[in-house]
Amino acid sequence: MVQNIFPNFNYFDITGPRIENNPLFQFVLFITACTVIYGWGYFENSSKRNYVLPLLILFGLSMAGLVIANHLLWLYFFWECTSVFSYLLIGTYYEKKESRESSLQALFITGAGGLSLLLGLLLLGEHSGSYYLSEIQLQHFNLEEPIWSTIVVLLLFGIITKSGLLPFQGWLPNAMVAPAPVSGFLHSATLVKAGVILITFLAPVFQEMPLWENSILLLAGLTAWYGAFMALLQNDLKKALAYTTSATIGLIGFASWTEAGNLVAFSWILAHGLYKSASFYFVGIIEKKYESRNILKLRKLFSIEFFDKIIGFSLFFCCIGIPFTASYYAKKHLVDFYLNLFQQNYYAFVLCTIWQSLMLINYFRILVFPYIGTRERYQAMHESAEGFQEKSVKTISIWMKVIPVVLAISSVLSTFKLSQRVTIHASDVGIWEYFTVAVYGLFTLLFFMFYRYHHFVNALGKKLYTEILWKWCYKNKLRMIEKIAIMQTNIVQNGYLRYYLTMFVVATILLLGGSIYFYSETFIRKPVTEILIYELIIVAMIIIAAFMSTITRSRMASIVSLGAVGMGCSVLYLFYSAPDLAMTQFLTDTLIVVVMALLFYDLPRYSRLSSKTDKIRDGIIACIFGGVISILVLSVTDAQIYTEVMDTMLKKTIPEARGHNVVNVILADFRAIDTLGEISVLTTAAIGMYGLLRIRTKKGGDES
Amino acid sequence: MLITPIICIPLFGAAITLLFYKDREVQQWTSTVVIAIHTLYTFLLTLNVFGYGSLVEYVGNWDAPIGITLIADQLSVLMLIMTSVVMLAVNIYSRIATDAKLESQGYHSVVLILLAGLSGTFVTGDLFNLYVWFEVILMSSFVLLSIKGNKEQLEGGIKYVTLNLFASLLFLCAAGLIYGLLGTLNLADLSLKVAENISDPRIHTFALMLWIAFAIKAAIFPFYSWLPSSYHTPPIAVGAIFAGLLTKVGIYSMIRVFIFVFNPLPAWIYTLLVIISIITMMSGVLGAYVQSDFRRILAFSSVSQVGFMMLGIALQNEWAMAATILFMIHHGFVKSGLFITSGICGKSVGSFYMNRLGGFLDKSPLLGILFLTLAFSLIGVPFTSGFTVKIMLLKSCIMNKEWVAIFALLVVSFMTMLYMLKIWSEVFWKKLPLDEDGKVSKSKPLETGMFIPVVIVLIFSLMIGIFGNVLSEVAIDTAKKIYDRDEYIQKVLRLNLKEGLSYTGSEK
Repeated sequence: MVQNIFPNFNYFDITGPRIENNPLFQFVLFITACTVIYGWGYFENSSKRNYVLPLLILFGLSMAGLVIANHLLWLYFFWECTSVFSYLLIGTYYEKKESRESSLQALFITGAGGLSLLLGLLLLGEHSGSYYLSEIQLQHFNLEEPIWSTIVVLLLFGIITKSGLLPFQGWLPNAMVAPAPVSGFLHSATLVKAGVILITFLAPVFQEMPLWENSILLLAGLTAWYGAFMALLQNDLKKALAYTTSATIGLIGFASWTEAGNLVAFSWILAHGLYKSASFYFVGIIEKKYESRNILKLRKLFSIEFFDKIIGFSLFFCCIGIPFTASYYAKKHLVDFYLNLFQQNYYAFVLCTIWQSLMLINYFRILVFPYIGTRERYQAMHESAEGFQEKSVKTISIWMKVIPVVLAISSVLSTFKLSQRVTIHASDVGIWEYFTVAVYGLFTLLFFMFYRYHHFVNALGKKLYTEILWKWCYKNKLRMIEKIAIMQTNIVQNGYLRYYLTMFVVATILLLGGSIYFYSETFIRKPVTEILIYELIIVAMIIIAAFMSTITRSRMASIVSLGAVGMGCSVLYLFYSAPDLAMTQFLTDTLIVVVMALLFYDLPRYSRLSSKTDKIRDGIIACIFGGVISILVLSVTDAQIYTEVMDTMLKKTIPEARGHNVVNVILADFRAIDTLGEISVLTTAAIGMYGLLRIRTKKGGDES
Repeated sequence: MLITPIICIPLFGAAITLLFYKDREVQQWTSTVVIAIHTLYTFLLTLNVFGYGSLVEYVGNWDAPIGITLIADQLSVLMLIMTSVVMLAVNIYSRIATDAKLESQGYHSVVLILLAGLSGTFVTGDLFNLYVWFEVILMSSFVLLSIKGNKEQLEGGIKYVTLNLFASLLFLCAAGLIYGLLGTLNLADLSLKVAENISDPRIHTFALMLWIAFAIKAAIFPFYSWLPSSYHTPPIAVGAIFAGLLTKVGIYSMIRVFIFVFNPLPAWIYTLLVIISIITMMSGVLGAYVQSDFRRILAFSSVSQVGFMMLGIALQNEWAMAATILFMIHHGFVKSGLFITSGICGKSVGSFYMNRLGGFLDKSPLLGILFLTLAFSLIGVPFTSGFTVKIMLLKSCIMNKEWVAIFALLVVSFMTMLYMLKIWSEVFWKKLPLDEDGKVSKSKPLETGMFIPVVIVLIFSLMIGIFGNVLSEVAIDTAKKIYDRDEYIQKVLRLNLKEGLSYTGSEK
């Protein structure tokens, strides 16, 4: 057991050795800088600039923290920060309902995952004996203990929700209501990678565990295919990009579960981060310029500027991974890894080839297709006949144009770093060449098919515009929670005082009565003392008077019977030699009866509101409650174990306290501070009453 | 250092404010000065207690267990700090958001009496004296609730006072029964005598009876109905005091009496309490989720948070107890801050219903940041106070292998996030909605001064989060002293336990 689990604010807890040689850290900072510059241009002349840019910087810092964090709770801190800032960023256009809902949906899913992750990390820390990731990575555990399966499930839940792997991918496409800098930064380059990055961190610990391996392979693989197909059916550029992101993350997840795949995962994270954020920013430019990001609408626009075509084309080449771009090397690493993983299993290669060419089609459809070709544009012009006017193209800030170019260039430059690490074995057997040729061959084939039938594909996409899965995942669950919540609140908190009081009394009866029942041999016993006949008479009188006060129809009779109860009590006090108490009781009861009788002149007519069954029910409850208290009281009569305090009080009354009445001495000397408290109570009551009466007299009947 | 001033300073202040009943200016200044002195004294007391160990004072110089003993130990001073800081914040708020009607009804006097009652509760070492301070709190909070005298408030006030009187009744009965059996009321003495008779079922039952009384005060399922029906009715300043401090009294007394004196009870009682606390958490959070009134959400959220504190008590280990102690302080700060925030928003628009509120982020980004930080503190994002206490609770659950409790904790945290963000989305993000006539509703400008109290409680709350490392150790130390009673008993009864029990009066 680890004694103190809270992280400190020192170098070792925050990063420790994990900052050294960490390409992700530099990558995140670089992308942050690019995004902030792009955002500066994107939000020119917009009031949102002051909202988005600070959040973007904060998000970038927390993401940078996440990739270097050492203490598990620092890791969790950065993890939660990314969730929170992403919530705020998705809601950038918070005046719109859609934005608010989408951002809540994202946090709904990632927040649930975050909690699961927290528990997983705590269990990991407790059971591994260390809260430091750098130490945990070096240890080996007996993974067959069931607790490790629990830990893995909890951690994986956090991971797949954050990375948008199936079945929790639904929030990612909806997060596209955010502006382009946010989508490009959070939902392609960094945030959604957090999950797979964590997988790579934990891979050394869990890679020998079948549960870990199989669940990641299954979920990541499914996500990769799902994303690739769904992207094809989207007509919204950003949503299509979101799905390709989801597909790529699936691919990265596929490689990241083992230490051997770390290189693949890292190179893909870098390469994909660069080209995908560049594509998002490019789409941002298109959206700003032509005020649409729908593929069908863009294709009907008459003029697309040459600059956009060039950028689109070059980004397309970055995406598909032509030589000398980062993704070229990433792909090489991947093939290398597959060869080792599947032991020359060529079915996997066939699948991989098909997937890759599907992705190429997707990128083509997003980055090139909307801006080329003229036939449809002319058709559109002729259909709308004379009324056709060329839409004016909005001007955009220079900073927006610069950043996609910078990212594309850095995608090329980063190859210097990536290519150094290539230890490709695949090329030795010629697989790499086969693979490349196959991918491009298939792509060409698909390309022609797509070009021929793209109307069909687009129409299908239109139908799938509203997805079934995420609605089921999110909206219905919220509604269910709401239903349960309303139901329980109506039961527990229905607004009637009488109901609450009944509930309180019944619960008390259950608890105390249960305890009495449980220990019945102690509580249910014969009274020790003999009951004298005059005591019995008085007690009977008290009980009858108490009943009378409840059943009588006259208000006055009820008060008088209550007075009788009090008188009976004071007589009992007299019997037990407590004359002071008897006197006090007598006085208060007389006063109460008199005051109540006076008050009745001002009260409205007596009305009976409760039905007979209500009364019987209440009567029964009251009797049981009285019975329970009586049993408890009976159990302590004549059973006092210690009497020192009372004896000492009696002894000290005359010599030390210099009083003659022990009750007075207790009130004014032994326990004087009690009396101080009671005086305060009376003062408060007086203040309250005075205030309330003043309101009445001042304002009469009118109340706000 | 004397302990009585902690009670007497506010009472003295109350007396002064009553002398100047008509003069609002004097009342305002008196209460601010008095609360500031009280805060100062509390900090001095804290330094003393953490420096030289707990302090004991025999009121009227009557030795324990004859007279009443006041004790300031670590738990007491931690609670006192929370109380006085919240009081100070609320006082600053009510200075700025002057409510003439409220202040002309003796508001300041009653608040000071309430402060005296709270202070008394936290320092007393006597069961009946505790009851007296409960009465002081009950009466003064009832007066504060109904002081403005409109229909809604009187209704809430009646519910509050009736259900809490039931708690007082049970408390009084239990105190009487315990005195009848054990012949003493001094907590230290009681815990010695209870320890000698710990197998007596009567003691278990009386302890349970006391627990019910405290559970009503603390608003634990099924005894919480008074809380959501009364918290949203009073003026904001009063609501903030209530939200911050009232339920803590119940939880504190549970620790001080139910755990400190009656320990260990049979295991079934603690199991029952774990179940009850889980139900409390869930019930409160579900209640909060369906509300549409800003303040009612906060009220129901208090219920679920009390469930967390109760869980810490029921788990019976030092980490859990430490978590509960810190949780009380954390919740005191955060909830009163949130209540004041709700007041700032509600006052500006004139309604607390979320479909009438909106647009506050554009109106005041600072307020948005304050609210969001407080909300995340309630949810438990790292390096806020809520995180410190939730981690401690989670860890103690893991230690006890209470998987159901862990699950409930996480689900409730999740739901807490949902309803807090619902407020954020509706009040801060959404545009200010049009009123019934289709016009843009008017909203008054916000006074920046009103943010000061929120900033104060926020700073204290964040300190719990940032210094979680240090504070958790302090809390664990405090918790250890609650389970290991020797130091307390020796201090109070001035005896050496090894020599056996002897209290034949004073040695004077």
